[in-house]
Amino acid sequence: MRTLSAILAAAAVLLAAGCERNPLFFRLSADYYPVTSIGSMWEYAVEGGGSEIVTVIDQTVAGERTCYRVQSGADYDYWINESGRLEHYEDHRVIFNGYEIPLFQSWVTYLEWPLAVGSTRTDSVSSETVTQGVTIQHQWRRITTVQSITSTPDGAYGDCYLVHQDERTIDWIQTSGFFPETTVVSRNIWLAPDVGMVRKQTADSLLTLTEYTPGS
Amino acid sequence: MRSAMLLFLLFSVLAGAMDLDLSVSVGPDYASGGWGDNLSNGILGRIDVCWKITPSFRAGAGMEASVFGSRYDTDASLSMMMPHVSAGYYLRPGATVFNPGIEVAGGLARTSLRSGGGADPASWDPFWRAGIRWDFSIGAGFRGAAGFDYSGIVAESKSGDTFGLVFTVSREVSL
Repeated sequence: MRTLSAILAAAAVLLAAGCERNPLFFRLSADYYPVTSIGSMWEYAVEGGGSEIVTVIDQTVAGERTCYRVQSGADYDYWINESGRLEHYEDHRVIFNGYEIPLFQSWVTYLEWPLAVGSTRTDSVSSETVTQGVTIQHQWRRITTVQSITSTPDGAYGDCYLVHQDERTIDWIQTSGFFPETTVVSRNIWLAPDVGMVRKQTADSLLTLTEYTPGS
Repeated sequence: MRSAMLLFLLFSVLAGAMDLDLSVSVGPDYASGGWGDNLSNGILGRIDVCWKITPSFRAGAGMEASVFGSRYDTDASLSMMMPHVSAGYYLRPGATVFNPGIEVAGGLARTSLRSGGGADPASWDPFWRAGIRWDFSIGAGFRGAAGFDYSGIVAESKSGDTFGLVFTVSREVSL
């Protein structure tokens, strides 16, 4: 009888260990980047002082596609969230001889839905532009990895996907006196269900969401 | 050892009086609610062994599997494994053409999501299922049934509901 009890207890422990619950259906139905509601506003505290306000302004056309325009300070970003993909309009430019030279403009997938831990995607671009008789070579690569499901460090938001991005840009103005200029940025982004980005951390900056107002 | 022998004897006695219904079901499965926005319609498969306690009433156990693919050209998929116990009640048992009935089931569902080369941790949640059946004879000792089920996986924060059409082939065996 004692042996049977021990076996049943061991089986119960094993079953309990292997039968963990998690809100998978909640995550599946949540919008982790709600940039398609005009009027949505996110206010972030910037580490070291100040704040940054991000607002979905309106719908417009960029790169021959209808999209949502998002204002962040004086900058605009363009997003499309449809057909299982979040796409971002990449607008890469460089300053040369006092002029802003466009290097690459196109829609690039930012995330694919649904997110899952361990999923990864690599997006890259290689282009050449000739301006003022000079060739400018542009290489860009972004590796995006969903690292885990977690809460924000302050515990304010749960069931977040922690997304890590490594982005490398090499611009080479191929004339004397210029060498390839490489920029590398690594960032961790916490995406909360039905809120979006609640925290973004790079080597030299930290944004933390302080207020979110959903749009209509 | 004595307990095991008693259990074996009890099972043997019960089995001697058993009419069992072995069934295989397949059909399309549809997500109900926002959780399926990025997933396609699914397909379900189910195996059940039911004891016909009376001609109208049966109870048993089985295993169901459902798979949902991606609605778009991504590689997402959601799979469910559902061991369950079930019960059914039929109004006109043995009728050749029209034997309507209801079936209910409950058990545990293991749901796992894969997407983009990654996988979310699987979740084990209780689930329930209820549906109606139109049972009929298809000859050679086999019976067929068609019907639909509504089921709900009682997951944390939000349930995973599905609506499925079910087509069943079954055969009664006596032990």
